[in-house]
Amino acid sequence: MRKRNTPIAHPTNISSRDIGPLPWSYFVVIALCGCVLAAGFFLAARQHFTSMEFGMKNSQLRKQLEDLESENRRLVLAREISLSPAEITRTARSLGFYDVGGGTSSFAVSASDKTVKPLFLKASTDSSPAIEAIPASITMTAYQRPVKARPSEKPVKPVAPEKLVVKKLEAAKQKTVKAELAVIAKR
Amino acid sequence: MAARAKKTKTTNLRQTAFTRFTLIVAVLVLWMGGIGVRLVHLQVTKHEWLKERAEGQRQDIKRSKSPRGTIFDRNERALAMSVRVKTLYADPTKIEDVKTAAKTIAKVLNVKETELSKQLAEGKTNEKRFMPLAKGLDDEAFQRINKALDDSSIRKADLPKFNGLHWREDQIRSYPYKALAAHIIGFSNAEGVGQAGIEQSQNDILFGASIKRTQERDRLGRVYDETVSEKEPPKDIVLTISTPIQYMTEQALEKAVRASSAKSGIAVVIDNKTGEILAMANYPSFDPNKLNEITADNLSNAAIQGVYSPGSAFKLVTYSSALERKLISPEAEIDSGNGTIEVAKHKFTDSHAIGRVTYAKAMAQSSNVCAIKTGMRVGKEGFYETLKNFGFGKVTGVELPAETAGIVRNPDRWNGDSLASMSIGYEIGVSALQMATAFATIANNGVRIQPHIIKEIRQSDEQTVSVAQPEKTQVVSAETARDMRIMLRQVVVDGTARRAQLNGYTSAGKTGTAWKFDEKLKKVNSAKYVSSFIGFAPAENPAVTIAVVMDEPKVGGRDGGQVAGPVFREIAQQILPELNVKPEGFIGEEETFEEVSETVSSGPSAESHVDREPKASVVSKVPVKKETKPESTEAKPVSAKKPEKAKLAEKDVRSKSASPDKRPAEAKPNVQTKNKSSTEKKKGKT
Repeated sequence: MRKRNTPIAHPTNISSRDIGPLPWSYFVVIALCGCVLAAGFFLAARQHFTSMEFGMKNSQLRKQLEDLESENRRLVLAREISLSPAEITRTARSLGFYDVGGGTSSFAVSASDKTVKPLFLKASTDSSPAIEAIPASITMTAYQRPVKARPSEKPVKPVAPEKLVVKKLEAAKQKTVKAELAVIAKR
Repeated sequence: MAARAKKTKTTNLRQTAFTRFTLIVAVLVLWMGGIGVRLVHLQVTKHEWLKERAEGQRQDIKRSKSPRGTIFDRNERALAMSVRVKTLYADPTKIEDVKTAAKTIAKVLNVKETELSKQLAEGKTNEKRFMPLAKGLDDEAFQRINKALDDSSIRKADLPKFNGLHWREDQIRSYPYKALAAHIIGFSNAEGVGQAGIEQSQNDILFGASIKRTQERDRLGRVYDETVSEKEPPKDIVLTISTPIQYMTEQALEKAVRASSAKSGIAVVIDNKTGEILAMANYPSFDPNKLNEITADNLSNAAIQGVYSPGSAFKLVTYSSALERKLISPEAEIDSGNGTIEVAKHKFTDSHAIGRVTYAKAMAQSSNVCAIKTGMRVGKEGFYETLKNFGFGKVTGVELPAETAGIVRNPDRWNGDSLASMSIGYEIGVSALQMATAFATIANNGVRIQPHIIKEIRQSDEQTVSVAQPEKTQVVSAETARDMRIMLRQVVVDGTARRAQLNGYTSAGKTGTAWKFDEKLKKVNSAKYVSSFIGFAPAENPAVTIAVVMDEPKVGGRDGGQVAGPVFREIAQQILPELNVKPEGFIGEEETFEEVSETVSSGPSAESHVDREPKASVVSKVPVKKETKPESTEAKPVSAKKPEKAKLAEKDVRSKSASPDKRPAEAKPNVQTKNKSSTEKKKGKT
């Protein structure tokens, strides 16, 4: 059987030991390790800063999302406000429409009045016969609405249809002439 | 000698080296020990302080509230919602030059510079850290102010770039439909806590949970990491009410209250097949956006919180009770005698004798004597059982706060004439919703469906959390309900509620008129009434039940048929097409109605009534031993012995055929062509 633990022959004198130069492979290994370490640090640093950057972007996006949600809520609210009956009424009034059912007095019928008349709408301010004749069940549309000229507005003179046609033709003619002149000028 | 000296020198050198080494080691040990002690001191003793400091440098904890849940109507219209707004506040301790800062801020915010300067100076002296400068600012104002206050020399990550100024996120509650359904929705206070209506009753569901944000910041104050911890987010509530129906109801009620100069009015619309409340209106009302305009008079939701004596409308319970026990039938006859009945030494009278009539006719004419006789036949226990089954004397369970149970005494506390009084709707207090539910029960073949106003509750991501599951109870049989509908139909066709006839639809219901209890006089006041009409339409296959109660009408008629009937008519006519209910026929608008006024009261005397009424807060209490006003009741004897049902059907057909069509052309059903000749005839007459 072969003896495994062969005694190592230590040199008795250190000075007599032959010290040669370090092999280049050592340097290569050390350099590689150094590179790996540096690359590791570099990558870690890069990841750290990237994560910070992402964190910042994430935070900004989160804020943006919240802002958009808030904006959405605001828009929904604005839509609801504009759809509310009070707002529609206000806008309609500003456009010149008025409430035909506002002055109905069909509820206030005297106790002594034994015979109830049919329920007709009565305009509270305007006693226009066109309105009085409309029964309660019919809702007036914009087309049925009797147009009442505002006192400040100047009455518009009616223009005959033939005159209107002539005017339109003249305008079209002038437009064509102008276009032709422009083309000539370009040339 | 020399060798000895050399040995000594060598020994000294070694000793010196050892001493030096020991010294170095000692210094190192001391140094490391010192560091160790310091580290232990810092990490153990000063751990909390250092942690706080470190976190303070890089962490920023912000607390806010998520927006309160939204309240929708059944058509997904937002009735109440919260929006985020910004508040600009100052931290005067961080402002170095108060005067210069005040000058700049005042210019941007358009406020007085001197006042602002004074406030900031005071804040700095008192070391105030929070001083709001502008509240409720929207995004546009936020951007504008940031731009105006921007100081490029300041290194600050947050806006505005101005020393000592910060933004805080808040929210405001907005009610886009203003006063519409204000009593149902209610309102919440500045802290976002519900104070009335759904806002109050469902506060826990709607409440905006607090959000905690832990932000990690770098040296420039930029947020690079954020942890958001939010408790359970608020939920949205979908109501059963419909905005158009609510609007129509409110408009009709307001007009009627104004026209009759009534003190107030109530209108409730219920889908009797589902128990869903489609509208609940009170007038006067309030705008929840303007909290300073809310008063005690307009705040109360009288439809569920007010108690009134129903008067003749309560005869529904009396007759239902008798019909259920097979004691009467609509066609059977009853003799009202001379229009007077005495019970426990108390005389109850009709306005005039109607003689021997059918029960349907007695109901139509609102005869007190007939109702009392019917109630007496039913008996105390039976009557009490029926009224409890209808839900009187207990809350309906609708999801609104402070609902009243009404006033119903136990039979052992009844007096000799209590049964008689209660048979005609006195000595009892009910809410408008209870009455509407009772009529809806009859309309729904005797099945009482618990009224409810919340359709569903859902998370913000539209995931439904809970859906309403109302309780259903069979109160009376379907046969009884059908007979009651026939009797109620008679009231509209030929009784006290002719003004509740609809154009194109059939309707049924009962009027009620009662004197009010006067708190000052401590007795009933014959000049003050509560007039009501509760009915449903169409009469055969009812879709909706509508209750209208008018408090103290002064101008015009006082009877429920005169005051509340037209309101019912207006509401029903508008909402039935909205609910896609097909018209059945036409009742002529120009047909003249022979007015039948209602017997108001022959209840117990004012004094005795005062003693027996519970001391609860009651909107109106009832009866008096007074003669009623003469009524023009059609006291025609029943000439023909035709069955009542046949007569009613005949009347319906007659009225349909004799009606001129006033509806728009597109809504005309096929019936029109059939009745063309009769329509033309009628038009010719008019």
